[in-house]
Amino acid sequence: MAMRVATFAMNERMLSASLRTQAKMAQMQIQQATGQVSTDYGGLGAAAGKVLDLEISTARSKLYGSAATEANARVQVMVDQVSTMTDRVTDLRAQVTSALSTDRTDTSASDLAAAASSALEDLAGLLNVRYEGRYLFGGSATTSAPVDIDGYAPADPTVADTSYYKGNGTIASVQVSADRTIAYGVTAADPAFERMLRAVQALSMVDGTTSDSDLEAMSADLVSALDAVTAVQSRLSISSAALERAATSQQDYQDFVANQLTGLTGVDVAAVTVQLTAYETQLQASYAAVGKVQGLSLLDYLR
Amino acid sequence: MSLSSIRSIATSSLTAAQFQMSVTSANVANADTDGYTRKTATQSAVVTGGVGTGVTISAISSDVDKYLLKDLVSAASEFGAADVMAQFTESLQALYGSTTGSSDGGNSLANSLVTLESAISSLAGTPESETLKAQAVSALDDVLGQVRETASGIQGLRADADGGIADAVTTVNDQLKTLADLNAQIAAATARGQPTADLEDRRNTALQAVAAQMDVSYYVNSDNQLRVYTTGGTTLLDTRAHTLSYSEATAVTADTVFSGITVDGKDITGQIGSGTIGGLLTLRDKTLPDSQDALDALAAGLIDGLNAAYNAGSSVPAPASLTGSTTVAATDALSASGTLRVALTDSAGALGSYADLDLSSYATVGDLVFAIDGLNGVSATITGEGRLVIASEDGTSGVSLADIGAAVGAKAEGVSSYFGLNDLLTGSGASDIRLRADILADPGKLATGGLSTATSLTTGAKVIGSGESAIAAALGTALGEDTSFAAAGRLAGATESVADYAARIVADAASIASSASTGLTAKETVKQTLADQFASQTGVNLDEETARLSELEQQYSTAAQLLQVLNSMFDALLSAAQST
Repeated sequence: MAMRVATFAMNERMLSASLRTQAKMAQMQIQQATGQVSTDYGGLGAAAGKVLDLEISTARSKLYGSAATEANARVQVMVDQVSTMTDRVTDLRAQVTSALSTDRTDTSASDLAAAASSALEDLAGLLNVRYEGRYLFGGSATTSAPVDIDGYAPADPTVADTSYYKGNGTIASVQVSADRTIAYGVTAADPAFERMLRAVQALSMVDGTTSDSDLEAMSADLVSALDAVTAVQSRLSISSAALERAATSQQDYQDFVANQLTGLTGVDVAAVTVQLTAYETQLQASYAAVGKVQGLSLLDYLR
Repeated sequence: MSLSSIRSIATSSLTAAQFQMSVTSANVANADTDGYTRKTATQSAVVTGGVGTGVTISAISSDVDKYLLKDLVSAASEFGAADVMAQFTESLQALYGSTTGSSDGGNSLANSLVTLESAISSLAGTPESETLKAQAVSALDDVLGQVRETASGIQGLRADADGGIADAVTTVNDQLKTLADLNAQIAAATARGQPTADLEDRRNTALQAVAAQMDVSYYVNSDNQLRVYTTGGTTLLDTRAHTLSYSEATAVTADTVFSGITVDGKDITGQIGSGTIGGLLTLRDKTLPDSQDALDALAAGLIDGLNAAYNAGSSVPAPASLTGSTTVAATDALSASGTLRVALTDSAGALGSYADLDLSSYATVGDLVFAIDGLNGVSATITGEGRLVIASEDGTSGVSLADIGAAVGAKAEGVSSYFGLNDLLTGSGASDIRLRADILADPGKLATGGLSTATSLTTGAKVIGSGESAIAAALGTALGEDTSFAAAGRLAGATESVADYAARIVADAASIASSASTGLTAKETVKQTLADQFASQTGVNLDEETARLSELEQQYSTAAQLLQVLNSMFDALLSAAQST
């Protein structure tokens, strides 16, 4: 005997098969609408762990990238300040050179001294720069001005004196990847700035009694201070470049990961659309089959 | 043979056809009744003295394959377990958050931890910013809140599972009583010589309902009485129903001890391995606690790591007194090396006085406390609860501590960390992990730096500052660096960052849910296939019944024709008798 078929059981089975097809279609329609395989981790199945790892990697990379970008902005401000300082000191040195080439009077000497005093104040102002509310040249003492030149008068112009400095010796550093920390910035107590301030301060003490040889020595001090400050500037530029590279490489990494993530969590809309059409056909066919079975009854033929 | 025997044969045929029709109509009427099987009436020829004298209906039976039924019953158990497993693990994975699917990440616990890392990292970059402090505190509070909510969500699911067990026990008991009733009715019907096939159908349905709740073994004895046992052999149904008893837990926490499911005072919890109850037991006692264990390990990692880093810090201004969170006694041995610096500072963080203590010269906790208490302006005591309190004597200066190469106890931690004098997080596990209340209320109190460890300090100089980022950086490191996690729940031990560990927990929940869903599909297919097979064998086919009806109609009209012929014969006989 061929296998018997129980009428209601078969109807039920056909109906549940149709419903299954319908459920699959609904899922695909949601995928088509959202562009996502699933909105919860459970729906991603085995890929969930990888998706989470990538999400975390992206977030971390953004963190490193923005930290590097922010540090770089600070370094840029510092570079600008240092560049203004070298301009200012170069001007001053030109004045010293011209003073050396002419006969000095008390007036011209006091002019030079006044120019130096004003330069000293400018330099202090440049070192006391605030960016986004924080003092950049004071180490980690970022809430108070790092340089105070009131009463700054080194007893011996040839001996280093950082008594103007109110900050501390901590050099800021920033983590730019899991294993790399870049120390950036410089404090106002850096020997280059110290030498520059000391040389300019000495110049502000010039009067009619200052000899040419003393003035030449001061000029030479200014030149060596300029060299040192330029070295600081290039050091800052190098940090800046390193920070920029770090930020760029994090950005590249984010792009790569974003691409991979889309591969894991996104759906191929074209493929889904084609599959959807196939399911639509299947659903229509199964409805037709249900209709056919419902319409077939021996009762209709026995009249 | 006589005319009357012909009449009795024809009448028996009419009766038999009517009976068959009633069976067929019952089949048609019950075509869609759950658990109904197609009945057939067995008819046999009545033979008197070697000669056929009619037809009789000897039995009504249905064609139930008892081996197929057995498979179906056990498939029902498997399906019941897989069904609850899929439901609960789906809820479990949802507790851990969802993905946005974009590179922005989702709101999973792991993503929240990375957001925290990010906030702490920004703070380390600009430690003096009150805004960033508030952001870091809020990110930290978010993470802790999420951990606590997830933990309470897991316990909520366990409570649901426990409630589900109580409901399932009630269902089993109802069905066992129904089975006992049906056994009695079948015995009575058999004694009266009545058919029992319909009662058996109902018994099979009830049996499957029991099996869906818990896996059972059963057999039908020679008296057509069903006997049901647990798989471990405890009787559930003999001449009467042995009902289960279970009392649901009133409140469910990680420490709740659940009562057992008992039958006649015997604990049968361990004998239930499948069915809804089996699935719920696995969830309640294994799957969900495993997830909670992993979450506790995560919380413990956070507490240990962040507290160890934060204890080295000091807020500005420093608090007037520090109270330990660890319980100690003065007589506890102290194994320590390095130097402890105790400083008194004013409200701006400028140094009032300080002292350095050589830790290796103290043998017990009491010795160290005595030495700190001996310092000028500082008092140190161990409270009745065994907590160390270090306070400034004038009540206005702040006390701060710094470890200079200090290593105390087995973990070689700092003094503050050892006594828990400046903990950032409180609590011991996922359900009670919290941010220190005063910092939560005033994020400005979040320390980003600590007391200076310079060789010597100058009175009046700032020794703690809000621009210091060492502690903020250390917190960031504690979150980002590899922490060692012991094996917990389903997760093997690992050394990885807290966020990576959280990612593993979430991924594990997702994989449980996904495999439970696959398992459900598999069990459903098996159950459905068996059910289809069972229905094909025993179900009602309306066309078949219609054909049968039409056949019986013919039989009936033929038998009626026979009676008509008999009547004509009588008439012929009578008229023949009258004419003589």
